[in-house]
Amino acid sequence: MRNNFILGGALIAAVAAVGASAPAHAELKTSFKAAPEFSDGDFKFKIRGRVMMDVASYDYQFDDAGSATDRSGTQTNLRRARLGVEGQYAKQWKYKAEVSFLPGNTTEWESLFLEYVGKNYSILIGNHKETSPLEEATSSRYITFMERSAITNATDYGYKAGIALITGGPNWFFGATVQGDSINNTEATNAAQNSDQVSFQARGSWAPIMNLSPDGASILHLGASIRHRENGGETLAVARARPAGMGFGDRFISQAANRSDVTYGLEGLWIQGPFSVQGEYLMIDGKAAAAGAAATEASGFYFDGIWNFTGESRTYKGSTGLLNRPVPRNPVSMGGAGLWQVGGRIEQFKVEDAVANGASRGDQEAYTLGLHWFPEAYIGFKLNYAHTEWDRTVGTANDGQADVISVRTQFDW
Amino acid sequence: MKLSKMARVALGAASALAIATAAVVGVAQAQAARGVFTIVVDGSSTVFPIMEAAGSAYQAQQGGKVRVTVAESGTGGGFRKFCRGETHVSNASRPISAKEMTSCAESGVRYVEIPIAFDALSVVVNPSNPVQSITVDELKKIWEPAAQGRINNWKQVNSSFPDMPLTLFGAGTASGTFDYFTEAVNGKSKASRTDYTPSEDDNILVQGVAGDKGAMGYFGMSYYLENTSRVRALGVSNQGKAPVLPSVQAVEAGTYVPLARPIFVYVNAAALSKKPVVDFINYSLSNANTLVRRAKYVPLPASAYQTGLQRIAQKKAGTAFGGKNDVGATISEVLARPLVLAPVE
Repeated sequence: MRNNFILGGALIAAVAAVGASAPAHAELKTSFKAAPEFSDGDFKFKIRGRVMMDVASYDYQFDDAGSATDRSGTQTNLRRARLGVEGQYAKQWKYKAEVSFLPGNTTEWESLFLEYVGKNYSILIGNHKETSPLEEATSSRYITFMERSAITNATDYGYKAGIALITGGPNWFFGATVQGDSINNTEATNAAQNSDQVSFQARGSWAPIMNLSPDGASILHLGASIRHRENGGETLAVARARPAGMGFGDRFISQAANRSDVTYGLEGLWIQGPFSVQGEYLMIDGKAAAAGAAATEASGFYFDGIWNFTGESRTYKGSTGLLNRPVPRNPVSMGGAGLWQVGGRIEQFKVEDAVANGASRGDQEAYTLGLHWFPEAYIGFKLNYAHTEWDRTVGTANDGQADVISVRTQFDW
Repeated sequence: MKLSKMARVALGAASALAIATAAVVGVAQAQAARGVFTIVVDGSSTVFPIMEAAGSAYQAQQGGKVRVTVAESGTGGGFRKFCRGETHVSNASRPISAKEMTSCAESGVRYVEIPIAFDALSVVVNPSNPVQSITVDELKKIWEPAAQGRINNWKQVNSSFPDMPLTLFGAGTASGTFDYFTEAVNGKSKASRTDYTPSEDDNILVQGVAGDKGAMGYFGMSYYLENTSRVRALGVSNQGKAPVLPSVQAVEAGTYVPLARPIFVYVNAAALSKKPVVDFINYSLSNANTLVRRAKYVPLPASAYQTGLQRIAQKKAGTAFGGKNDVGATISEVLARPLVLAPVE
């Protein structure tokens, strides 16, 4: 990890040096989008980053007090701190490199890829998650609540090394990827079988209704995704989830490790003026890693609704099929109130492989309420309250509930 | 910290209260904002005088029930806001570009393209300058990127011109005037020397040329006609023909080429579900002849405004240019073309 930090710092410094020397170019333009962007038409360079700092008060209560101890607390948490660069060498070549600084003085690569931009397509090589389902692929800066839903987190999409083909039009997107594991994983040759896991995944989306005016947006988004994973010489990440609203700590519902699995996803989003509703259903159909073990299955959904009561519509990009940055109509810096948003989410996550070691199987339901304020386009504050109940398949031991109140301060550039 | 049941209830209640309070504030704010419908217009400084006059007149006619704000961020700046869905109407002194078409399409902005007038770009000099006319080739010699730092005396352009330092004033790079002039004169949009004084505010350009004996500048004809005592237009000669001065008659006759052009307003098609927007555009088109003449531009034929009214009524989205800037296209050619929403290769 330490090496990653040094490597990341060196890369950023090197590319920054290129950017710093760029003003010598006669037609260099500098624009400012929370950070300077240097461009001469072909060459572009920008420093990017984000910070998310949370305070969470949690109260976990277990139904069988004899089997576990109730717990509660208030903790501060650096949820995300990333620094990186993005740019293009010419109109055909782009890149993005971003390092995540984690609690405990460790670092990880997040996005780290080279992109070839063709006429109506792109090819990405490197660590990326561009073909993940809706909520996972939506930047953590633009997701609705502080934390993604349990089923989204459980599916273990996310940044992995591979090659992707992406195409799209103004109101549609299609991407297909072949990926191994995360580029942050250490590799070894000291076992008979040490190949990376491999996954083949695809996502498509279409917005049959897509109209935007100053008086609001009217957008209907539909999408679907599929992924097949083989574990190779690794252990596939298991489907598991924390109580809603928690970015750290215990996970009470968890699937057994799979040898291979197929994940199916359906997604929908409707934006009408300042209102929007969004939902996804995801199902993991797995083959158990242990010889002779039964097949495993995990599934879940979330459904949320949002009202921007200062009147703004949520922003959406048809060519990626993703939500975009919340932009206040009247930012505080212009004497306005910023963008204010209230919303709620219901969700369920279910693991149905009731076999040996089934103590952590079962399901959890959660309800989240949020009040969010974006005084500027690049600054946000979120207050979330989440109530989660989990019900395990084997007996009632460790069934329980959680109440979490959390506050986030986030800014990016 | 262990939270007691009471503390949890209190925190939950506080959260609910915060949300409810914010919601009430929001509703009140939204209701207050709903009182006066505001039509947001931005874009070309060249088109600004027409739509600013239209906005003022329409606003007065509505007796304060509708507000029209008209800004002048330049054609490019206006399209950036328009394609982000921030404006109802985008004024443009050139057709929407391929890049802007793509940007609008990606965010779900469809638009109705309406030619509103003909403009003639004026090439002006200080009244004391003895030069009376100039060819398009000579203009290119002055303004092309290769002239940067090299062509700085009138004598270098034409040996019959006076031996006098050449000082240049022109449109800012965010301006549609810049795009049009560079394409018409240098053969490539945005290709220009950069060692000149640029401004999106044409009054600054007038002031610059009026105050410098060796100055040359270019901007929209209306600003020239408003300032004939301070600057003088050069006749422009194209392809060996006699020089033509910018005038209403020359533009109507189609002889002031290549520096005469149609100018446009683009209306957000989804915004046409709002009656004030439809009424405002209909008002502008119905009174275009007067508004355009007052702004010192050349009105289009009446049939062109009829076509505009039909496009609004039918919400007929798209551009006749396919993302390209046709220098010298006549209005009848433009109106007869099919409308497209995707750039034409």
